[in-house]
Order: sequence, then structure tokens, then C-alpha cells
Amino acid sequence: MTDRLSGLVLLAFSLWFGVLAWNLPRSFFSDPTGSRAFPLALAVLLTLLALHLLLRPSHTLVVWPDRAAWPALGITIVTLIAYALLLEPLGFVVATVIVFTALALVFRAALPKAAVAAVGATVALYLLFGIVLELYLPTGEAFEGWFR
Amino acid sequence: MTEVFASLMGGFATAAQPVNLFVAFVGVLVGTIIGMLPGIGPINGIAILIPITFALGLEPTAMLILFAGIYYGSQYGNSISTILLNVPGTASSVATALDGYEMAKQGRGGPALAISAIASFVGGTLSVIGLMLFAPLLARWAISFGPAEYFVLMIFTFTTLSALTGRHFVKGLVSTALGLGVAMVGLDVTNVARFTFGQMRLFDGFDFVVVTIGLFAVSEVLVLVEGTRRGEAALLKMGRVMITAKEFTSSIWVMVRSSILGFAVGVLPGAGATIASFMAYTVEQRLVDRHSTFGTGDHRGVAAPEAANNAAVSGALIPLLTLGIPGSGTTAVILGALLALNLSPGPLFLTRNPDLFWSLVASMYIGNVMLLVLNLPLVGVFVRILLVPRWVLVPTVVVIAYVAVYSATSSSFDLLAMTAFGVIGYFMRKMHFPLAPVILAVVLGPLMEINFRRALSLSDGDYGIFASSPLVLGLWALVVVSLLLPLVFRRRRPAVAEAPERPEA
Amino acid sequence: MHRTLRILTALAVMIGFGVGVAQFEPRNVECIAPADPGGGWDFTCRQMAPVLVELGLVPGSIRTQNMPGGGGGVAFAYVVSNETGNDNLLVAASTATTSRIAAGEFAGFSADDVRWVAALGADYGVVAVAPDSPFETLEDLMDAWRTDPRSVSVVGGSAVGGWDHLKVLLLADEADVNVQDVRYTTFTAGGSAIIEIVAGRADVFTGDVSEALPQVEAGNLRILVVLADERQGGLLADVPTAVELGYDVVGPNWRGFYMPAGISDEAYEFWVETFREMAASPEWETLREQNGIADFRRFGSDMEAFAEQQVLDIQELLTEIGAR
Repeated sequence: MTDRLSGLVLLAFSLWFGVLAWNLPRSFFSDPTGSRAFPLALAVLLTLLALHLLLRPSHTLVVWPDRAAWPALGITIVTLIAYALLLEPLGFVVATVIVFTALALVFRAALPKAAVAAVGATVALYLLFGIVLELYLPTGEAFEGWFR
Repeated sequence: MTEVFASLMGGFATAAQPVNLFVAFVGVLVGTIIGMLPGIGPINGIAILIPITFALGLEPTAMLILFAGIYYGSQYGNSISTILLNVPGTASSVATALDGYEMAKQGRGGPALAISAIASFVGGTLSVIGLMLFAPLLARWAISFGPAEYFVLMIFTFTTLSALTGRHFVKGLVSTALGLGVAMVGLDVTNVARFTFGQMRLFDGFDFVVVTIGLFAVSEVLVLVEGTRRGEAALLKMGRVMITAKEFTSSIWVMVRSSILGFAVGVLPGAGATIASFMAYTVEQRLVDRHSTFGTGDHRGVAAPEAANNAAVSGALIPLLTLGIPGSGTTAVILGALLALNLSPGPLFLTRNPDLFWSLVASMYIGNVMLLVLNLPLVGVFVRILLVPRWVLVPTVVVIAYVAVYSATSSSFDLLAMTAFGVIGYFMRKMHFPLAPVILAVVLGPLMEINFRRALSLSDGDYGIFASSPLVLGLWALVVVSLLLPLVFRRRRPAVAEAPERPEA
Repeated sequence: MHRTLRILTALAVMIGFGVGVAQFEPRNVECIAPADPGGGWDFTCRQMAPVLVELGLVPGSIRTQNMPGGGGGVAFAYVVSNETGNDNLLVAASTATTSRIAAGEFAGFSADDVRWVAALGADYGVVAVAPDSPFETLEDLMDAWRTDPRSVSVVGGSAVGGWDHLKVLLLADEADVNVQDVRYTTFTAGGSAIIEIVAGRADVFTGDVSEALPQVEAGNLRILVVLADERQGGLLADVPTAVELGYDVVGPNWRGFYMPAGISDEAYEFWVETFREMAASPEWETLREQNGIADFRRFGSDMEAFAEQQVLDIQELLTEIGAR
């Protein structure tokens, strides 16, 4: 059943991919192959594979997560997205403490322990990345005034 | 020959001074630590460390030894995070993850790390011998590969794909096709923007690290979250630390063969360590995997790619030192380091700087030995990473990976893409779509297309170029053999096909 | 000796620009390399900029921020939209930056959206062939193009429409060839393109002096022409420039910096003079020569004019051949 479903998703994707590939512009500078050849060939390959999954699905058993695990997965994904979005506005230190704590909680740590570990890890990583390796770490738009 | 020996001894005499040995030790140690950090990986690690090491003001030989140490150390450090955490830092260690992480999950993380260190040592040492003896000769081999030859070489690599897909061959093809699609995003060789939706961020395509860390590490986090909800607490089992004599003897020829293969592929500037490691894995799978244990935690599946990717890197030094052409990303960084030492590797490097060449060779030997001496005893320490409770380890890995990627690209977009690849990777794993072919396709796909288009551009549209040299015809023959071989074997050995299937991992 | 020189320069600077210079103090300087760690722009930030610290011209250290994407376009767009008025931000730039602005690849931004500060060195373009090539002189190549442009295959290390390609188009344009017929095959680096020449799979190499020179020494390449405004020394002493041969083509791939728009005049003057001083230092000369970069200096308003002109020249070429 999941094979059929993935075949259907894949079929939709390959058709969309094929349309995008078909509409690719031509380069001004001539080139015997052109920009469309490989993407179109791939679209055809993807379509055939999708049809194979749809029409001749294998019968492997897919074990989906327990009902209890879905909220935890959702929270994890949201936390990761939040990290990407908060790193610039809040800066490395604040964003990292928040995200570390949240993830530790997902893995069933007690809040005080999680918070202490988060602060410790953040300081350690700041020393390693920011001071030793001199890597670029965002200061945080919210705090920029303090440093300039 | 005696001359070679004498020169090498001269190189060793300098390299073996206590100061230089200390420098090698520090290099390997620091390199291992940096290489271990997910998301930094060896290439960026070296690029970041080089300017820092200049501040030390060492003399050139000591600097070379330091680089060699950092280099081998970071490669090995990368293997540590690959094997223990399923976080490959570069494409060239993805093949290692296939069996390495399975071994770690079974409580054999220690032996996997030990095998990896030994295989790296064998690959490194054999290839340095190759570099020493055959450098000028092999430069010819590197030159003889033109775009048409590379195109057929890529086709050949794809024909060995079934070794990576396990029992779900069609799903493996789907993974490959998806990888090819991911690789097509960005500007193509004629500056046409493909699948970028007008986003300048996408013009260079997806950063390799973003795809690998996303598919492997982020999806692993999700798998672990799911496991924790089922009540698993510790990450993995510890098990024994060292390898057995049997494990060693059964993999020694795997290492030797993979070193030679890796070295030969590494010499080709357009191929590199990733292709070498995948090729070694797939070739060994066909040669020695009698009971279909590759992919389920076979130590030989760790030995092959680790020997090959290390050997490939010394191989890549040949076009760099004899022709001045950097082959892979890492050699480009080494080139930068040599330039900064006022050594310009180029066609005249060997004749003009024989002393430095021998110091380089000696420093590579010493770096290799130091790697083994330092890291083999430390395997027990590294494996202890697995005893760290999940609630500390997983957030730490996530934070390091995200911050490392951000510091290299300053792009929140890349972090979002990485998360998206993680979610996709999670569902692919759930539905038994293998992940390794995605990475192979991301590496090979663009090379295949670009070399095809280059070949036709050089011949002004004449397809005859794909059959114009003995070399290209020989490669086509390899492709045919590789496609037919499994069919022949299947017919001759029905007993193997009937072997009892192991339960799905 | 050096110290005396430095003091004299510093004095000259102070007299010339008065208190204006003294008013600006650089703090927490950052350098954006619009590429991944390890490339040419990364070099500009991680190796060139620190010379300023070494010379004591800038206090503390200069932190490098890598911002790859769109061939420098991501960083350009970021600097224009988010860093206006940041007096302490340098951005690594080269001819690749100006040629992409000219081709309209930077999301419609133009050269005057930033302040061009300095160019500290340049790598001049060359056109080279195999030692046994039938093309003895540039004129032979031009004749071959005039007779049948498709008979010559050119290889280079930049993308189609990139700088190495444009240089050869500028030349072909002088031969009155329809440049759409000029065959060009792109490689990921100049070195890989040179392999094709050495192996005899292609006819002509277009690239920079630093890429070609070691191969000339090794007898793998012969340079037909250098795209510099005057004749170069050393191994290039016998190689004519295109200008000498009557073709008005100059192709410097300069390396330097731009800064955000809206920075204070004091800061701009400070950076211009600081780079001027750095360019005259022996430390910079050593680093420059180690990396095969020729002496090429443009500062302040000269640099702004130069960058604008380069953009206009490339735009003119692209318009002329119908690519824009």
C-alpha cells in the first residue's frame, strides 16, 4: 500500500519535473546537448519507476511510529525549523540554549538538567567555534546594538 | 631505486626529529577532533585550520607535517562520526556508513573504528608508496582521461549500483533518480538556471554537506526520537573494543585491493575519493560477499571504502604535484596550503623541490603511522561517546551540525533545506528507499552530464567521440561486463540466491 | 628602512587628509568571502585582509564570513539590502563580480549599489596553445577564426559566459567573427582545461597568467598573447600584448574589495588610504608574488571609475553579440 502511495507521489513529482524541464530556456551560447536533455531523460526515468511502484508494488512491511511518537516527531521538526529561523535574529547563544533545551526535553530529560546542559554546551561550543576556530557565529540582530 | 631509498631516508631524517614528531601528533589530534564535528567535515576543517596554523610560524617541513597530520586526522575523525552516529561529513565516507553504522548498532562500534583506522593506514601507506614510485608515470594516465572517458567511467560506476540497493533494486533506482534530480538544481554549464525558481541561493545547487547531513544526521535524529518514545534510553550498546584476528585476516586483502583501486581512481582529477570509495565497496561486495552480509554490518564493508578513500587522496596528489591540477575539494585546499608555503605545485615541482617532495612523502608516512598509534588505543575512548545519554548527545550533534553549516554559508535557507532533507530522508528510510544511492547520484550525476556535454562540445556535436580512443572502448567493455556479470553469477550459483533472507533491519 | 618608509607614508596620509582620517577607528572588522572556504575570494579574506592586521593598520583581527551562492550574487544582494552604512565590512571581489553584474546576474543590482574601495593586484588574461600547435602567432589564430570559426575549439576554467569565455570573445570580436560561432568548452578549473591542451583534445586555452605560467615553464603550453595594457617581464618578456598587435583587448582579473553603500566618508577615506599603504608594503608584495598575482592598483574614486567602466565594457560586448 505504501509503495502505491509513494508511486503516486513520485508520478506527480516526475510529471511536474518534466514540465519544468520542458520549459527550460535555451542558452544564448550554443551547446550541442542543450540544458533540457538530461532533465527530460530523468523525468522519463522517474515516470517509469513511479509506474512500476504503482502497478507492481512490493509487499514490504512498513512500521509506522506509534501514535505517541507523532507529536514528538512534530515538535522535533518544528524545533529544527525554529533553529534555522531564530539563529540570525536571536544570535547563536540564545537560539542554541533554547533549541538544545527543547530537544533534550523531547528526549525526556528533566527541565533543570536540560537547561544546565544547554548552557554548558552553548558555552563550550562558543569557545570552540567562536574563539578557537574563529568561525562566523551570528551575534543576533536583537543584540547588535550592544556590540557596535 | 637506491636513489629513491636514499632520498626517502633523507626525508625521514628531517621528519623524525622530535619537534616534527610532536607537530605530527598535535596535527593528528586536532584534526581528529575537528573532523569528528558533524557538519564541518575534513575539507572545511582543513580550510579553517590552515590560516590558524600559519600563526605558529613553523618552518616549511614542520608545516607540511602538521598539514599531513591534520589531514589524516580529520579524515579519521570524520569516520568516527560516520560510524558511531551515522553522520558522514563528506560524500567519500557515505559508503563507510552503510556497514559501519550497522556494526555500531550491533555493539561493534569499537571493531568498526579499529578496522577503519587500520584500513586508512593501509590505504594511506600503500598509496604513498605508489605516489613515490609511479608519480611521473601515472601523470600520463591522468591526462589520458578526457570528457568522453569520464562519461563512460560514470556509467560504469552506476552499473555497480545494485550493490548499494540491497533487496529493493527498484527502490534503489528511485533513490538514484531523486539524487540526480537534486543535483540538477542550479546553473548548468551554459549558465541556464534549472529548477531554481529564481532563487539566487539555489544557483550553485544544494551544498553537498546540506544534503548529506540532512538525509543522514537529521533523519537519524527523527528515528531516535521515535525510538525514545518506545522506551529506548541509551544510544547504542558498547560491546568489545578491539577486532579479532579473524576479522583482521579476512579483511587484509580487501584493504589491499581497495587501496590499489582507490589510488588508481584518485589519480584521475575528475573522479576523486567519493567515486573511489563507492567503487571499492561495490567491487568488494561482488568479490567477497558470499553470504549477502554487506549492508548488515560486515567489517569488510568498512575496510573497503576506508582504504580506498584514503588511497585516493594520495593518488590525487599526483596530478597536483606533476601537473599542478587539484583533483578533489581536499586537494584544492592542500594546493592552497602549499601555495601559502611558497611552494607552487606544478609540472616542475618534482624536479625543482626534490627535498620538499621527499619531506612531503615522509610526512605522509609519519602522519599515517601517528594516526594509527594515536587513534587505535583511543578507540575505546571514542566508543564511549555512545554511552552519553541521548538527551545530551542528540541535541549536541544537532547544534554542532546546524552551526557548522551556518558558519560556512551564512544561510538560514541552507538550514531549512537541511531540515527538509532530513524529513524526506526519514520517510524514505521508513519506506525502505536506500539513502546511499542518493548521495552517489548527487556526486556522479553532474559529472556524468557535464562530461557528456563537454565531450560533445569538444567534438562539435560528433557522437563518434564516445568511441574514439582505445581507452574509451575499454571502459565500454567494462560497462558491458559489469552489467552481464550478475546475470552469469545468478545462473551458476542458484544456492546463494536461495540463502535464507535475514529479517528486515 | 621599512619603518621609516611606513612613518613617512603615515605622515603623508595625515597631511593629505587631515583629521578626517583620525576620526574613523575600525572596530570588529569583518570580511565576507562570497564563496565556500578554500576558493579565490576566501583567499582574499583569509590571507590578503590579515596583512592589514600584520602591518598594524587595523587593530584586533579580521573575521572571515563565508557567504557562497550565485557566484557572489547572494553576498552582493545581502550587502546591498542588509549592511548599508556598515563602516567595518569588507567584501572580497574580482572581475568575476563585475562581469556578473554586467550580465545582469545579480538580481538587477548594479555596480553603484556598493562602494568600490580597492584593487590590490591582478591576474592578466592569456591565450595559449600547445607547443607544437599550428598557431604560431595570435594572427594565425585570428585567421583561422576568420576562415572557419567552428574549426577552433577553445577551453577555459570559467562557466559559459564567464570571464575566461568573455576574454576570448573579446578577441574573436576583434577578428569580426560572429562570436556565437566561437566554440568554447567549460571546465571546473583552468588546470583541468590545460589537460585537454596537453592531451591534444582541444586547440586553444583561455585563462590567467598565474594558471598558464608554470605550464609554460614545464613546456606544456605556449602563450600567444597576454591581455595586459603593457608588456610583462620575466618569462612573458617575449610575449606580445594584444594592444601591441593592434587589438584593443585588455583583460585583468583583479582582486580587491567593495564595501556597503552609505558608509561614512571618513570610513571610506580610511579604507582607501589603508589599502593604499598595504599595497605599497613588502609584506603584500611577498604574498602577491607567491600567488602569481601581478601588480595592479586602483583606489578610491579611481577604483569606482574602473569598476564602472569594466561593467560597461562587458555590457557593451554582451549587447553587441546579442546575449543581453
